[in-house]
This record gives sequence, structure tokens and C-alpha cells, in this order.
Amino acid sequence: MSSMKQSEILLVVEDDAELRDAIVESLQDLKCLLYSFGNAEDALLFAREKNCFAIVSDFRMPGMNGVEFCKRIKRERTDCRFVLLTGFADKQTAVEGLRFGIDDILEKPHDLSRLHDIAESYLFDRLAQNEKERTSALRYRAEFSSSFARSIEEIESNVSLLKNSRFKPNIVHDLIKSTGDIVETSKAVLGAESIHLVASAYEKLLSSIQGQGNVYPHGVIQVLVQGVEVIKTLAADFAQVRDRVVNLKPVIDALGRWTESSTEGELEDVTANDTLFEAEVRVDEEQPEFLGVDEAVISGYLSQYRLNEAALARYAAQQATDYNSAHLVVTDESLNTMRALAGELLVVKNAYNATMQSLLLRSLGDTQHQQIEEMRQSLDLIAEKIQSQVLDVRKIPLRDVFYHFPEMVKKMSLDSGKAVSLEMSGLDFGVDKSIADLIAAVTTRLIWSSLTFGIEDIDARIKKSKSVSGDIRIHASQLSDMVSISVSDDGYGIDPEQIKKRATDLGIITKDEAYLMQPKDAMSLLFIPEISRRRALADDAGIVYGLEKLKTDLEHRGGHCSVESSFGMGTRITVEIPVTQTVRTEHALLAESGGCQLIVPMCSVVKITPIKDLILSKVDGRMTCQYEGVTIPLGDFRHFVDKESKQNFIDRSDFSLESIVLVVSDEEHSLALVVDEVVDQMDAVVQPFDSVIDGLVGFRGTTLLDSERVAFVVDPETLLGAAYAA
Amino acid sequence: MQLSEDILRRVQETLEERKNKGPHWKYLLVEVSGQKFGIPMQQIDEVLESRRWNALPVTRAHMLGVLNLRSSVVAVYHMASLLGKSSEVEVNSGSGCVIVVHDKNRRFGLWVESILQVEEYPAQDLHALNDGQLLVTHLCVEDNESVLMMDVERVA
Repeated sequence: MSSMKQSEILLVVEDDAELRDAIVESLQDLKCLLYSFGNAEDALLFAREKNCFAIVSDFRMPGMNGVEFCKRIKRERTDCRFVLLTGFADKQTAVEGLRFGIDDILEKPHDLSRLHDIAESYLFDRLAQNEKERTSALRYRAEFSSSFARSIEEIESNVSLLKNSRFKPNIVHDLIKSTGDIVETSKAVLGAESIHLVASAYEKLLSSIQGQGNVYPHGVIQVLVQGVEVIKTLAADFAQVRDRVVNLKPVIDALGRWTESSTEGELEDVTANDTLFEAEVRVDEEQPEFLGVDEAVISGYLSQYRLNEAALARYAAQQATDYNSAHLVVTDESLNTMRALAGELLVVKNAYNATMQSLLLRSLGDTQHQQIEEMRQSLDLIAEKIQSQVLDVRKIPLRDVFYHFPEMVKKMSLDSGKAVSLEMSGLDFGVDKSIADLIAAVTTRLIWSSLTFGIEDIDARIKKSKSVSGDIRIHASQLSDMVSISVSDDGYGIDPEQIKKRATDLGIITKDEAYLMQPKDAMSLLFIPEISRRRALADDAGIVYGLEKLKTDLEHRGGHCSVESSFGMGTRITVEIPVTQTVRTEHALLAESGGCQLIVPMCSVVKITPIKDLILSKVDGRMTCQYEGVTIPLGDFRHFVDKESKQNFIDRSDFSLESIVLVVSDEEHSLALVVDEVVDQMDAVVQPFDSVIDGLVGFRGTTLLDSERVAFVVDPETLLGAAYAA
Repeated sequence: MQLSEDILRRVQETLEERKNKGPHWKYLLVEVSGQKFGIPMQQIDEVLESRRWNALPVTRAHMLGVLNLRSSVVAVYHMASLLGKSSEVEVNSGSGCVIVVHDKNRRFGLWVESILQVEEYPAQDLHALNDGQLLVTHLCVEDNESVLMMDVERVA
């Protein structure tokens, strides 16, 4: 370990002052700074500001408990280790909290020497990690310095050529390329933020003058010459590891003015004296802690320039703090109660509507009729608003869920020796609290896959004339009842022939099948366990492993996973995660069939017709009917999903002439679902099955009709699947 | 003679007292096909009488249907069927009692024709049955009558 000075921080959070002091006393000899707090809220504020290597926290405290504290801090500080102190009675709850990142649980009465050993081991881990990061950073700095020297030399020579050459567009093109290299490489290097910022502005100016012909005003050439000098000055600071604050605002402002001027086609000298060095470049030696860039400048220019992850992380941290201070803390229990009440309100609303309909059939006066109708409409409106509010209350901004990814990618890229940048888009919506953790875990896994298997190392990328830094892009979008996350990279891409070869070697497909298989279909082989679980081999570049488990996990929750790839260009993995735990309503038909109440989603019903209007026929002993010229299976739900009923062939005489047929359809198939009666239309509150009832093929949950009756919600997808199964 | 009877009585009392001081387990006793069964009281949430359930759309082994318990949907098992006994009385939705029970992760109902009473048994009187697969985990013999104690967690 290169440094044993006491700069690492450990927090002790315990509401019992006596115990807190005892714990602090027992950890005194550790070579770290100890801070203690009597509650989790204060400790959280502190830990957000300071990077602690470990937190020792009591479970049961006034206000926020230890598990919630851990959950919150781990969202922002994944590398902070967490020890939970708990009484025996709370141990089960605490153990459940392990999924939120608790590293160790110590039961009361505490063994302080054991706690000391744990904290000491965490401290050693952190110091080892620091050393590793320092070594990696030095390597990056060396690599950056070397590539920077080449690029700046090219820029200098091209800028001097620009003054006299006849073929200026070609020179500007070369200048953009060299500057682009600096922009890309500086993005991944700690301490090169200021270079990145100025080089980005410089690149923008070059892009804006590209195509302006061969004549440029003297002013812009002067700005370009001086811009090189500014970048070189910053690079000299970087090389000498000078930690000082440089106010880059005037420089970037000047470059920006020229960029705007040229974009608008008025490339004239903006002002005679507007040169970069005449603008004030303030150097403040009094603030040695900061690496290179004035934070206020970064914040001001965020909207205009792509910043590196460190700056973005700081910005996001500020946002997260603002977000938290603007909201109230609501317990899970309250949210769940609200959700249940909103559900019950809809049930009551449905029951009320049903009762009113039967009452209205009797002779009521017009006035009473109108009053009841108005009440019904108000009730519908309020129920809808409450439901929408409850959904919103449970939502966490996706930006907060993904907040730690930039930092994580930076660490992963340091560990792997690859240069990687991360871009995230589409994060401007919220996800239900219950699936936020799942989304974060799945996306983490995909990022890891892209970084490990997808992105090439620096040498390989240079050989392929790709940018030194690989790109990982996360895009999120919200579908009707799904959240879609795609993670793409510009790495190896997957060679379909390579996968086919693996599959034929393992005997999964024959050589003939492999020959005929389309590249798109070859990607589906990645989900086969024998292939997915293989360990990566040296010649497996780009092939993503471990997808089978991801797909199985997602499908278990009703989600999907797909892979698209272009060999040599990159890979995109998309997951769709259902929003299952929210109050979910389904506009549906309520039907009765064989004593069961069924809810059939309206979106899947393409036709409702009396059975007597259909021409029925038997195919292979099974009842069918014609729908739009296609023969489709016909039966009540038991004939499609119940093993025993499936055995018994049915006849037309099995159905009453009064029966109704609902043609249920998806994109590929249709079936004719026979019901005794269509009772009503309603907005059904769908409750997913619990673990006892789970797995009813053809159904996705239940809905309550009144205080006794329960209806089963048909799942068109699995019902059609069962009907068309052999 | 008087003395020995007195000693015997005191020994008896001491044994009884020792027995009473040991751990006791409470069970709700039910009768299924003439056999007494005990359900641990700590696994019972409530007992519902004459509650109607809704038939399942797809038949499930031992499961009668689901009932709406204050806006929660709870599955109802046929206890006699779970225990491998055939119920002589026809099961009708709304007859008998539903005992709502829970284990670590689940909550469900057990339908029985009727319930008997709550009994407390000293732990030492409960003889463990070794087969880990059975619903019944302990046996207790009282007044020449056996009572079989079940564990809700083993209902699959």
C-alpha cells in the first residue's frame, strides 16, 4: 500500500450513545477517520458528501432503519461496505435486507473484536482498490499523454497549413479527426476533464467551419492557433499533475461565439480583439483539491457539451440531493395500503355500476335517472384519478435508479483495462418502486456483458480503426405495460457463423440446419443453456454468455429478452420488464362460463357473435369454426387449458344455442372462446396470482367482483399457446 | 400404608408439575374421516364459517377454489384430500369451515367439515414422525386415542 495516511472514512451510526461510543472506541486503532451519528438521516447526508469505505449501522433506530439506510446509500455508493448491527428479533428482517447490499450482519450483543476484524478487512480492501485504481489511472495517463502528443502535433501542423494552403477543407477534415481523438481519449481519463471540455468546443468550431470553402477570416485562424495553445497549456498541467482550478468559461465562450457565427453563415471576425488569451484565463492556486475544472463552469456548459462521466456523476449527485430534499418519506406499508385501497375503490365502483344498471331497468323517473348517471360519472372520474395518483406516488425516476452507472462503468473499465464511455437516454420517466431494483440489476448485468464480452480492448480497437474508447449506450422506453431497456455497444459484434459452429459442435443443430439458418435466428441459439453456460474461449470474441439465465428470470416475471448484432459493428441486447406490481386495470369483458366468472381483455377480442351464427366443423375430432376464411379452434376455456377436458372431444350439441363466442386473437393466431353469457364491460383491477395459485395456464390473475365473487383474468397469450399446442 | 400413598401422590404431583412447566404446544383439533388432526395455532390466522369460494377454472389437485378474504384472494385446499382421506360428506361451496393458515411465504385456507376444540399438549408428549415428506409431523396419544399433528409448511 502506497499510502497509509488517515484519509479513508468509516461511519458508525447507532442511536444508543453508550453503545455508539463503545463501538467507536473499539475501532480507534484503525488507520482511518471515524465519524459517528445518532440517526441514519444525518449519516446519509454525510455519506453522500464523503466517500466512506464502510458504514457500521444499527438496524432499529428512530426514523430511517438500518436496512433502508443501506438501500439508499448503496444506490449512490456501491463500493461502500455496510455492516448491520441487529437484535435477534430483527435478524430475519435484516437478512432479507441482504439483497439491498448489506455486507455483514452482527447480532446483538455485539462481538466488538469481530466488528473490528471486519472493519479492518474492509479498510484493507479499500486501500488495495485505491492502489489498483491509482496504477490504472497512471497507465491511462501515460497512454493518453502519448496519444495526445501525436494528435496535438498534427493539429499544430495543420493549423499552420490552414493559413496558406489552397485545400482548406481537407485540412479542416484532418484537424477534426485529430481533435476528435483528443476528445475521445480525454473523456476516459481522470484529470483530463478540462482538456476534454476545451477540445470539444474546439471540435465544434472546426465542424462548423467545415464546408465553408477555402477562405476564412483571419480571426478564426487566430482563434484556432490560440486554442491549440490553451489545450497544450492544460495538457502540461495534466502531465505535471498540477491540481489547480482554471476558469475555462471565457475560452469556451469565445470558441462558442465563433461556432455560432460560422453556423449562421456569417463567418466574419466576431470582434477584432476576441482572442482566447485576451479573454481572462484565471488560474487559482488556492484551491488545490480540485482536478482541473471549475465545477460551476461544468454545470453551466452541461447542456452544450458532452462531458465525461465524472462531471456527469457530480451533476447527477446534485440532482439526486435536490430530488431527495424536495420529497417526503413515505413507507412501503403506506404505499401498499394506498394501492390496495385504490384497488378496492375500483371494485366498489364496478359493483356500484352493476347494481345501478339493474336498478335503472326498473321504472325510475328521469330526474333520478340523471342524478344516478351523474354520480356514476363522478365516481368513475375520481376512481381513475386516484388510481393514477397511486401509480405516480410509487414511481421512482429512472434517472435515480441508473444514477450510479457512470461511476460503475468507469470502475469496470479501469478494472478491465478498456476505455469505455457511457451514454444514457430515455430516462425521463418513473418506474414502480417494486421493479426499480430488478431493472437496476438486469441493466447492471447487461452493462457488464457489453463491457466484458462486447467491447474490444484498446489495441484491438486501434487496429480496427475504431475510436479508442468504446461506446455503451443505454436507452430506456416505456411501453403500455412494460419497461424496455436496451444496452448496445460498438464492440466486436457477434459472428453468427461462430455461434452456429458452437451449436453444431455441441450437437444442438445439424450442419444442414446451420447452413440454412438465418443470422437473426442464430442469435436465438445464445439462449440455449448448453451454449449460454459455456465459459468464454479465446476465439469467442463478442459472444455474450449467461443470457439463458437472464431470459429465464425475465420470462418467469412475464418479460422478454432479445439480441441483435452486426458482426464487427456491435451488439444490442433488449429486455422488456413487465410492470406487474402496480395497480393494473384491464378494460375487459366479464363473461360467465361453466360457473366461472372470466375477465377477457378487450384488446384481444376481435369479434363477439352468437354461436348459432357460426358454421362449425370438426377437424381431427376437434371443434372448429371459420373466422375470416381461416379455420380456428373452438371450445370453452377448459377445452383449451384443462388436460382432462382436452381429452374429451366436444360436439356442437355440447353448447347451448344461446352461447356466445368471443374470437380471441393475437398477431399470429385466433381461437373461438365459447362462454355462456357476456355479463358486462368493466375496468378490471388485475391482481397477479400468489405463489399458491400461480401457474394456471391461460390465466394471469384474478379480479374481485364484489365481497364474495372472484373472476379469473384470461391471459390471451398463454390461452392461444395452449390451444395451438400439439 | 398411609405414608406410601402420600409419597406416591406427592411424586405424582411433582411429575405433573414438571410436565406442566415444560414447553406446551397449542393445536386446533379437527376431525377428518373419523381421525383427529391438530393444526398448530401459531400457523392459524382465522377460521371462517359458511364462506363461499369460487371454483378454479382449471382443476388443481386438492384445491377447491379461491375465496375473497377482505380483498385478498386466498386459495382453499380440501384438507381430507390433502391427507389422502376421502370425504364422505359432499363438499359444497359455503358449507363447513375454512381455516386460514400461513407459513413463511404463503397464506391459504384448509376446508374441513367441522372443528373440535383448541388443545394444549406438552412438547414431551408429542412424538416426532421421521418421514420428512408427510404433512403429519407428530403423533400424540391421549386417552387411547391418537391425534396427528400437521405442519402447514409441508402443504405443497
